[in-house]
Amino acid sequence: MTWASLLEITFWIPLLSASIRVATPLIFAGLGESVCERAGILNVGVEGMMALGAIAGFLAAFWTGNPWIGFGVAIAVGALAGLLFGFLTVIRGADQIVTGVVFNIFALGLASFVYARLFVSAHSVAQLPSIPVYRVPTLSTLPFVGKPFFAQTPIVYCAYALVPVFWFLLERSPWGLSARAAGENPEAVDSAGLDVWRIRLQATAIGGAMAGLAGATLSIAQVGAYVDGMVAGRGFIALAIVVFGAWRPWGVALAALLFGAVDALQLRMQIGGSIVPGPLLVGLPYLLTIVVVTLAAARAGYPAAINKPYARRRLSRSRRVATANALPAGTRS
Amino acid sequence: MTAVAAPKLAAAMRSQAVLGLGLVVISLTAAGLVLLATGVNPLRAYVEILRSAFGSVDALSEDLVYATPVILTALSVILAFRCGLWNIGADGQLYLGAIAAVGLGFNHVDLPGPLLLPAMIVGAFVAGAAWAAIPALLRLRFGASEVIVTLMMNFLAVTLATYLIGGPWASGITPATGPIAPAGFLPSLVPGTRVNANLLVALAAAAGLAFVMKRTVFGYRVRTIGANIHAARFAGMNVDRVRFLSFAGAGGLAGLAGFGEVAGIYHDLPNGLSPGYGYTGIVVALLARLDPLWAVVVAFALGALNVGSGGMQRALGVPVSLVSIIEALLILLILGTRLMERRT
Amino acid sequence: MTMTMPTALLAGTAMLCTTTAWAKDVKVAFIPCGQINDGSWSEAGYIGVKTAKDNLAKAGITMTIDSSESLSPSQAEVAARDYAKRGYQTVVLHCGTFADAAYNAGKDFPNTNFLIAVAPKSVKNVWTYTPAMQDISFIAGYLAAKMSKTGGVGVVASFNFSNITWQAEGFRLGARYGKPGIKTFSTYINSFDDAGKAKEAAQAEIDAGADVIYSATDQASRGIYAAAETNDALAIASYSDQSQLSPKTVLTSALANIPLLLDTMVEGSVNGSLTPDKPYAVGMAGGIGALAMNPALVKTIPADVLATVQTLTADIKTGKLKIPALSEPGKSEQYDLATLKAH
Repeated sequence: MTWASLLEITFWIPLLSASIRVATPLIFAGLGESVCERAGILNVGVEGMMALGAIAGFLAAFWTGNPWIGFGVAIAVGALAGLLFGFLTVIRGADQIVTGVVFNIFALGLASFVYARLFVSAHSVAQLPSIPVYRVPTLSTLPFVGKPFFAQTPIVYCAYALVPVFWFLLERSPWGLSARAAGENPEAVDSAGLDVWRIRLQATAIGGAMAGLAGATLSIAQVGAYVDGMVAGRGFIALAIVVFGAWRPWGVALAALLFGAVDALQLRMQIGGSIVPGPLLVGLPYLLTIVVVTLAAARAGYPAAINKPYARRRLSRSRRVATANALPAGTRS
Repeated sequence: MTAVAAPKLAAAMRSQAVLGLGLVVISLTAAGLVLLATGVNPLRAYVEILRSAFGSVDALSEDLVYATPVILTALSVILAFRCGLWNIGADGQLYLGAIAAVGLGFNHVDLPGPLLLPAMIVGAFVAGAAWAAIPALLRLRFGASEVIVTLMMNFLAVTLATYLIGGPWASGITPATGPIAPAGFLPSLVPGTRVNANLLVALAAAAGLAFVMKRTVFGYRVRTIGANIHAARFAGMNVDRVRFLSFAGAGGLAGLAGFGEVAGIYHDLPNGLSPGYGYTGIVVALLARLDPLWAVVVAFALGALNVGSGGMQRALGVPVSLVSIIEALLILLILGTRLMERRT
Repeated sequence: MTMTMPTALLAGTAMLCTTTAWAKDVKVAFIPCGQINDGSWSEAGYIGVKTAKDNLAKAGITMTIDSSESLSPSQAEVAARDYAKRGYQTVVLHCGTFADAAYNAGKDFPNTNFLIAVAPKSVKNVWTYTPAMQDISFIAGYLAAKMSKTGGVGVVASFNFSNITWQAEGFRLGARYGKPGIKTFSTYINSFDDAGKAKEAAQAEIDAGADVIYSATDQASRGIYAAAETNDALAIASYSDQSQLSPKTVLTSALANIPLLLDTMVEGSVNGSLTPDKPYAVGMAGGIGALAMNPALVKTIPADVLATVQTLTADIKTGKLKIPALSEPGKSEQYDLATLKAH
């Protein structure tokens, strides 16, 4: 990258394509996490759930030879992981951040263990055939935006489609309304006769499923192989993207794109030779994230009830007593 | 203690004991099932864990080696949390402390020998504090989430360390910086082992933090803010100032952990210095119910679990990843039963 | 893989082993950077240790191998000390990051042999071995330049650490040697495993006009193959033969002959035949470094290019060509090609 090349369209189009590719798994994970957080659950375990999705999806795709089955399995495994996280944090009321940190250790270990058990050598696992690019008729011929946006793999189009779906789910559907209320004012949800625990569990399942899809996007769609440690912090980036997208699906997508663009840019700056050494440029996307999260902070803050376990739930008196007796002493409210 | 409270307390203690026992049984069973599934006799594994963790002076010393940085990162998390802020960035602050310590010890700063160690300690504390001051400022001044900013700053700290290791401070061939001057080496507490004087620093810090929290005006302010920030504001406290100082202090404590790893263990800054001590500190802080003295105990217990299961791994030839699965399962069980969680 | 005969590495010392060092049963511990099934650096080392086991068995020595994988430097030292205490004859620390662990443990356990990859010195019972891969990556660079249609080649590297940067700069130098004026790029991703980032790094180089990409990473190389596949470009693997992982893209693999190196070091340590205080830094002159061609793609390489590869190999082995170890990214661009032959 030289300064002159900044003026050329042949520099910008590949850069935009790369931004979208880098952003795709972040969009998936970020959309799921925004649902979780809006419902009052901060899931620091996204990183681990992505790793589980990456390995489960890869294995299913490898054995069946069908990448789409792989994505399905990854979504299911992610949802299960989300439910486990939800069980600990929602029902047992464990601290969300600590549970997330430990969940990551657990999930990364599990993914690594499963892979090592199944394959004596990575050499026995050939590259999956890559998913072909699908050029959307007409749209892909548009000037400038055509190629980057509409000459991508179908999984990228899934990301485009899911953004409005999540927008509708969160901002327009009755479920979204109660989920948002569960994140802002769970007592009110409770007194309205809705079950806060159930809503929050649904949210963690959605969050987990999307993290699983994000992981499978890395392993199946982008690399065509599973590698230990391949999630490489993207789950944490997703957490940041949710904040700087102000917990809104469109904001999350834009934030992911911006992150993708800076990451793609720093790689190109390394190639062109910059004053800043390459190994330092790697940190540029993180630096940018800090700046943008700070700027975004003026607009919105975390949902009020985030990381606050909700202890009571609305049940008939007899069932409430039965539930309370079934719980260990210390957890009774 | 009133006459009414006594039976209640006894009942509470009894239920805690039952719960604790139940937890141990459940944990051992769960881990045992995992081990059985991989063809390992769980009883043999447990014996190996105990022997590798407590069976010799060397074993005990390694428990302490692991505990030393974790105590400091846990204290860091505690201090920040006590006034209502999450410090997920202890890992990055640890790296900054290590960078400062190596920077002073390696770059032939013209310091008389006896002054080098104190300069490294102060330098590491200041560097960790400065690194933490950034998210504190962004949070208190602009409202930027300290959870996110500290997470990102961990990545930046590692990037910076990696750059120094491969670039300006490269040793030549090893992926580590050049060594520090011998005057900067911390003495070993038990000859022939790796337990070094930074353990004393960590213990002193724990005692000091406990004292500050319980007995000083500053500690009183921190506790008030943590309990009810509105009340603290209403009482006329300079809430932001106290929180800023606490968070920066938290960074300094984590920086000391980095100092200890450099001066006591490696004598340089290797790639991959911290295997996530900052994140372990979060777990320890919460398991210790934010009590600095309990953090020492929990850090030691976690060290024993880590060293013990590492020994078990080597004795029985199971994959290392199994060790992290079992460790994480145990902690998740503790979290799930909320046995050790702080109740407010 | 070509490892039929012991090489110059052991020449002269192999027969000197004294009977005192012989033991009927020996235990060897292997502590690599990553997993022993990573298909790359760690697995290559493990294969070498297993070869040593087989060879020693022929001599009537029973050797058992145990391993601890993916440890942090601190955990590696705990493991190394523990193995030493458990009576292991030789502890192999197959990771440059574990150098401190090896030297510290070596001091406290003088009766155990410690082998440490890519470290500055051998002292007493600690021996270091370094595959000097700039030799073979230079030849890979030459081949890449000859195969490039676009006039550009690139390296995706994990970290800017000594032996990794030697490889990257050796490759770039070799490319310039093959085609003066060729564009060469290198990108660092600060990870051994981030295959997604490696793919984007390779893509960025392809976008800038490269069509042959050398992998100076471990498992992240999978991403480089994926990028090469989608762009009809070529990739060059390192450490082990990876052509079967992506038969359409991996042109050749730059072997460090790490299995041979490890076999030699482990057998030497068990036999007591390693020269005291000698650092085993081995390039092609010592038999370390070969290209394993992809059988599916080798026919696309012109015969004269293959012939020159042979000549270059011979010249580097005999010392007629001397490839420098450049440890600063981009240094190869300023390097005067004429000085390669000055010796």
